[in-house]
Parts: sequence; structure tokens; C-alpha cells
Amino acid sequence: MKRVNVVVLGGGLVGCAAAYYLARRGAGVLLVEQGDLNREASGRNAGSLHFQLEYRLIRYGDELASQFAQIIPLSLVALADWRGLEAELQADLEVGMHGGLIVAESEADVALLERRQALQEKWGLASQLLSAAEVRRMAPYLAESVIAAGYFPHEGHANPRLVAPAFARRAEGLGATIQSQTRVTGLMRDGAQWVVTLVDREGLVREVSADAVLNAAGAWAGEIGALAHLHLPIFAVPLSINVIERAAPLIPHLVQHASQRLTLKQVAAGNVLVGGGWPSRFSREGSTMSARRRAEPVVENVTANLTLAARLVPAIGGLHLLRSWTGITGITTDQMPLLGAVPEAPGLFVAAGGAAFTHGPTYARLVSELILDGRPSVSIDLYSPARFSHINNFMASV
Amino acid sequence: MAANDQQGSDATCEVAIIGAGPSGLAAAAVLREHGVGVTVIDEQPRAGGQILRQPPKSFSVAHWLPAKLYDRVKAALHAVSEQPHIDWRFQSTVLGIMRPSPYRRSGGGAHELWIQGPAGCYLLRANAVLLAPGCYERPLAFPGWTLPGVMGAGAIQGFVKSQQFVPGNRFVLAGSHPLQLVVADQLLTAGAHVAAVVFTQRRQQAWRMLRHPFVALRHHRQLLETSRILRRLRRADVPVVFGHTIVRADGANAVENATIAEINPSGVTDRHKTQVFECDRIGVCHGFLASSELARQAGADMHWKDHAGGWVARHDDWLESSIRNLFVAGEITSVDGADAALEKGRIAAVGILRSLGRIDDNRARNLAAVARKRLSRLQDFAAVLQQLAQPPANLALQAMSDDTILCRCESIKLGELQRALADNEHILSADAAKLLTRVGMGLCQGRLCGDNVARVIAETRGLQPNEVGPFQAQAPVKPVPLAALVRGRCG
Repeated sequence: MKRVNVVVLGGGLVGCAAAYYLARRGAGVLLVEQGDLNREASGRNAGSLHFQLEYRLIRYGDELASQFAQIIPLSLVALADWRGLEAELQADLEVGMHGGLIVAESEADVALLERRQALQEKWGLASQLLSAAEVRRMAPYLAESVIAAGYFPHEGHANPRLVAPAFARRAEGLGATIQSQTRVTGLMRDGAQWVVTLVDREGLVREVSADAVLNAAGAWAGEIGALAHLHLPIFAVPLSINVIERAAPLIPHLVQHASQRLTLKQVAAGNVLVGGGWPSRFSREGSTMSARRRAEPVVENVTANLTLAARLVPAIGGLHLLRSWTGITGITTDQMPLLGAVPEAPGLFVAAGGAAFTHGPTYARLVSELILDGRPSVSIDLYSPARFSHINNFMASV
Repeated sequence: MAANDQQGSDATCEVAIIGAGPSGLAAAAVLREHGVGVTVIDEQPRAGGQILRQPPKSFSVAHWLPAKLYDRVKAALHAVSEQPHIDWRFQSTVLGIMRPSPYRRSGGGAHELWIQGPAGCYLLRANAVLLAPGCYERPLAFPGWTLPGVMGAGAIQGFVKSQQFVPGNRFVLAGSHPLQLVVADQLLTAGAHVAAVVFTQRRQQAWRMLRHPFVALRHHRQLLETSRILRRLRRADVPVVFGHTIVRADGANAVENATIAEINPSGVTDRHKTQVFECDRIGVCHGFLASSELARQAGADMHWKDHAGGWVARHDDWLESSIRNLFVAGEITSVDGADAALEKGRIAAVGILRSLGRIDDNRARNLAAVARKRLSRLQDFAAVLQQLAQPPANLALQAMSDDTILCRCESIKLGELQRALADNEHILSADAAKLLTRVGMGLCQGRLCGDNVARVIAETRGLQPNEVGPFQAQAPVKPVPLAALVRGRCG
């Protein structure tokens, strides 16, 4: 049986980055991906680097928002990580961090922005509230309906098509083995080791022994957990993203809306990406929703998302929607990431959930440190799977 | 006409037919005879598809081209194309065939079409859909193919037929499909100069096939027409060159000449044996690819029929795809030509009547019997033609050099794709290559580069093109103006 130090499950951004950070420290790594690398949420998201609180985190009232604001310390670490990532990987990832605007179109929006900024400040993220005139000066492409905006100078975007593959190439260069089109069908304890059963595209079955297993399977992390008879409360959710044809440079910022689902940015190639968490729809197989098939777009949502975008940035109204696509991401019950050791299964680690593009490289770096050193350089206790031990209390020790 | 005034409103129809070519129109006629409500959607301003391409009613040059081929199809379709009891929706693009939500009770209808019409985007539900989107020319990427003046032979024909306009002065036609003979003939008739017609096939190979007793007996009309055209080309001193392929187009700002090279008996292009023809237009003619994007987007099972259209839809005896009440007809099932498309449309219409419970099995069998018999004969001929028209294996790959533009929307060169494949050994699919290199991400959504990209990946990885797969098709399958979305009724 082949032996490695760490088997990483999932060839998305978190898995590829973890393979890199682990291999960089000399660990023997096998990365296993059921399909192709970077083909799910990691490669299909819109590439936002957002460090202010997203709309999904503040829309459920002040009490929950202050709980969700615990993500900010991790966001600030991620900010620093992104600043150094292209140099670290010696690759052009089309990282542009020219500032982010959360726009307000009503007094209620402004009030929401103010509450958001107070929360952010409490956790160490200082943003500015721009007046209508200041917005106009900074972002003349925005519509007259924008009366204020929350501004944070470090937000921006990177190209999701490039980031995970760059990590994967570097990981391979450092000796990591990557096996795509391979499914995991078993995850068993054997003394202090884990035995992982793999089935490749030809149907060939083999077992690999590892000191540690990192579950980086994103929306499918729950299924990996189930292989070890554990519940990891992460839910697959289907989203949609739209890309507009190339245009001359117009929008240097990441644009979001204070009280509606919207992210909007112009990427290096000139295309404008429009998203913001609008749902697509799982198809149904028998009596269950299927996260195994591509989610289906919902025309009404695509239309509403683009109508909002064209209202805020009138100049894009004359362009063509080139393509819409759907992607499946994973969200936990409390919107915080699942990051750390699974207490009920020594040697099993998880890094999934949440804004895993912005935070992905950071999840990977910190969990790799946890695996190799027993503790990460920055505390991730707030995001530990231990907070769900009250569920796995009824699942563990089989 | 009950036509365009309905556009912009959401509604349910009985049968929606996508494509007003031979298949779609033949199906519409059968369905109307049985009193079924029919909505026909087409991108063009008039019915008829590519084969009946006609100029706008207000503009037409008398005695432009004498009609010769397809007169039977034309006669059969003329009647239905002006039918007032059909809900015609012209200048309309189907952006996607959507599944109604299984989580919400509403309206009925098996499918929901996302349509961009002149008044904006809207949704239309249908109890059954017939998808008959036709095909387009298989592009060959070669050095200089993006120069202005390089066209598809069919596109040149489109200008001559529907615009009554000769788009150039001096033409070279090059490829493997006999259509280029017809186009050359039409160009001559319209007064253009044809510098050469170049076939990849060797002369003996072509004649052996055509002299096949089966073909000679049953398809003497087509054979006769072919020899008449060849005679006319000879009389006009047009060189018809066999066993050669186009290897480059050159010119300062547009095509000034075409270089062809000999293909040796083992199918390898010999770049030392070349001829150069002065010309301002090159018509490339290597057969057709089925317009498969809507079928793929809808999730229908597809299969690979290399020189019969690339990715085509699987179907049962009634031309129902793997998706219930989504029928397919015409070139989307296999590029068999207009006559066959007509019969497929008739069979699919009977299948729809049967599926909607309008007729029983017995009646359906009887109704479709004649069309089936004709179709079977036509498909035998189509199979011979496909074999005859098939370019040498690897022609597409041999045609390209390292700096040939593969994806013209995104300006991705062959070398860039090959380097990405070398650097990322895990890339096994067209979609994975697209994600890494932007190949296929542009305005044409991969229609122009998809086939060549799949061939490059397959060759590099030692796979078959069908294992590499087509690009995933997503709605909207064609670019749509934001203004049409905002103005429409889908919000």
C-alpha cells in the first residue's frame, strides 16, 4: 500500500493550495479530485476579493450580523496573503486590488452601511463612508441613484481560472502527486493511520495510507465526512454568474450593493462579471435535489441580477450578455467556515465553506500549519469543527 | 397574421418548432393538418432556412439564379411558409430550452423556451418542442484564415442566394465537400471569376465512389447535375484541382492569394509541392457541423458522428431525444441534407402527435410509413456523400501552425493551447482547456473553434475527439443584448 503524509481530498482552490503549502514544507502529499482540477466553485466563482462584510452576512439583522462579523480577522489575514500571492507562486493571477464600493441607493441603505461599518471597525477593518459627490468623483461610471458608498481600498478581484492551477503546478513541482478523475469510496481508521480507498477513471481500486487526511471537498465535504461516519454541516447551494462582453476599461473597483445581491467587476480581459449570490436551481433525481448534476439557471434571477447591474452601471446596458453559468458552493449552518481538526476523528482535517475564493489560500495555509505543526500561526479556533461536536457526539466511535 | 404581436408576452403553446428550415416547416405542415397549434421560431426574417434562403420580399433581382437542386423541397415548403394559422416568430433567437421548475406548480408545459424576440426577452412554455436548428460550416484553421476574404463556401452561397450579391471578384474554393462545385457554378452564373476549385480527394477516389452502382442507379439526378457543373467549369477554364488542400492565405490587409499543397497518398500534406492562386476571396468547404448547442444545453444525450455533423443528438424511432417531448429533426440528428431533413420533420411531427395522444400507434405507423421509406433511401445516399466528402484524417491538425489563431474571438493561438496542455497534464477535456486558456470563451461561444480544439486535445492526449467532449453549452446559448433582457418580461 502506498504511504503518504497527507491525502488532500478535493482539487479546488483550497485543495490545490493545501497541496502546495504542505509540499513546500516537505510533506508527502497526494491530492485526489473526483473530476478535473478547479472545475467546480473554485473555477466557476466570479473572483471577488471581498473583505468587507458581504450582504449575505448582514441581511439577517444585527444580532446575527455581529456573530458573522467574526470572519473579519480571517479576512484581514487573507488580504495580506493575496498581496503576496503572485510573487509567492511566480504566476500572473490577474490580481487587482483597487478598492471596493458597497453602494447605497436609499436612506435605509445608508443606515445599513453605517451599521456594517461599525461592526467592521469593531473587528479591525476600517472603511470609509463616501458621500454622493465623493462617489461620483471616484466612480463616475455609477448611476445617479447612488447616494453613498462604503469604500475599502484593498478589495478587488483575481482570476479564478488561474489561481488553483497555479497552486497545483507549484505543488507538483515540489513533489506532490495529483490524481484527478478519481473518486474516494472509503475513509477508514487503521491505528494511527488513515486508509483511503480510491477508484480511478478506469475503475481501478487502490488503497493509500496517510498520517492525515484533509477534507477540502467544498460543497461535497459533507459526503467525505459521511465516509468517516461523521456529520459536517455544510450545504450545497446553487448560484449563478454572468459575463458581459469585453469593453474598454471602465470599472476599476469591485462593486457591491448595500441591500441587494450584487457583485460587479471588470476583469483584465475587459469582460464585466456580474454575480452576487443569485440562486440557480438543483435538478431533481427521484425525490431528492441533486448536487451531482449541473445546477440549472433560473431565467428570472439572471434577468433580475443583470437588470440591477445595468441600473447601477448604465454604460453596460448597451453591451451583450455573453454567457451565464451556474456553480455549486458550500455554506455551513452558521455561515462561518469549517476550518481545523475534526475532534471526533484524530488526523482528519477540514477546510471548506464560506467565501472560499477570497479566503481559500488562507484556509489552506493555516490548516497546513495545523497539520504539520499542531498549531497554525494565526488562531482559527473560531472556525473549528469542534463547534458541531454536539452533533457528532452521536456519530463518533464507530 | 397572428405572428409578431404576441412577442414579449409569456404564454403556453402546444408545439414549438425551433428552426423554419425544411424539417421545421415539414413538421409544421403535418401538425397543422391535424389541428395542432404550432409556433415556429426562427432567427431569420422569413421562413425557409439556409436551403431556401431568399431575399427580402421588397428586394429581388429578376431571373437571378435558376433553381435546380432541391426543387422538390422548395415546392413542398412553399405552401406552409405562408400559412396564416401558424404563430410565426421571426427574428427571434431561442436562448435556452429550460426545464420548468419541479418545485413550483404552474402553467403546465414540458419545456420553457427562453426567447429573445424583437421586443425583448420572454419565456414561452410548450407541451412539446421540435428542435430543428440545422448546421453550419465546419471551419478549418490555417495560417491566414482570419484575413478578411476567407469565408465559408456556404456563406458565399448565402450572399449570392439571399442578397443577390457576389461578395468578391476572384474566388478560390477549397475543401472536401461537393457543395463547392455548386457554389462555383452559381458564382460563374452570377458573373464572378473562379480562380480554382480545390478538392482534398484524389480524382480516382471521388469517381470510384460516385460510380458505385448503387449511387449511380438511385441518384442519377444528382450525378447528372454534378457532371453538368464540371462540364461548365471546364468550359469556363476553371481549374479543378484534386488531391490538394489549402495551406495558407496571404495578403497585406485582405486575401490576395491562396496557397494549396499536395496531399500525398498517405494523407500527409506535402508543403514543398505547392501552387499559388491569386484571388480576393477563399471559400472553405469541409462539410458541416450540426448546430448542437441547444440540444446540449437542454441536456439531451449526444453522440459523436465525426463527418456527419460532429456532435449530434441521440433519438428514438420517432425522433424523440433522450428528453421527453423534446424532438429533434434535420441536421441535428446527422447532416444528411435538405431532402432527408424534410422527411425527418414529417416523422418527428407524427411522433409528436403520438406523444401528445392525438393519434394511436397504428395510425402513427401508417402516417410515417412513406416518409420513413424515403428517408431510408436518402440516408443511404447521404452516407455515401459523407464518406466521399470526408477530409483526410488529421487534416485540421496539419493545417495549423504554432502561431495560427485557433480561437478567433479570444485570439488564442494553437501554440498557446499546446503549451497549456504541456504545462497542465490534468487537462483532458475541452472545458478544462477553456477554463485555463479562454479558448472558446468569446462571442461565438466556441462554435468556430470547438471542433478544432477538441481535435488538438485528443491528438495531444492520445484520445478520440468524443472523449474530449464538446464545450459545455449554457443558456443563453448566444449572446443577448442586456437591453433585451432589461426590456423583456423575464424579471
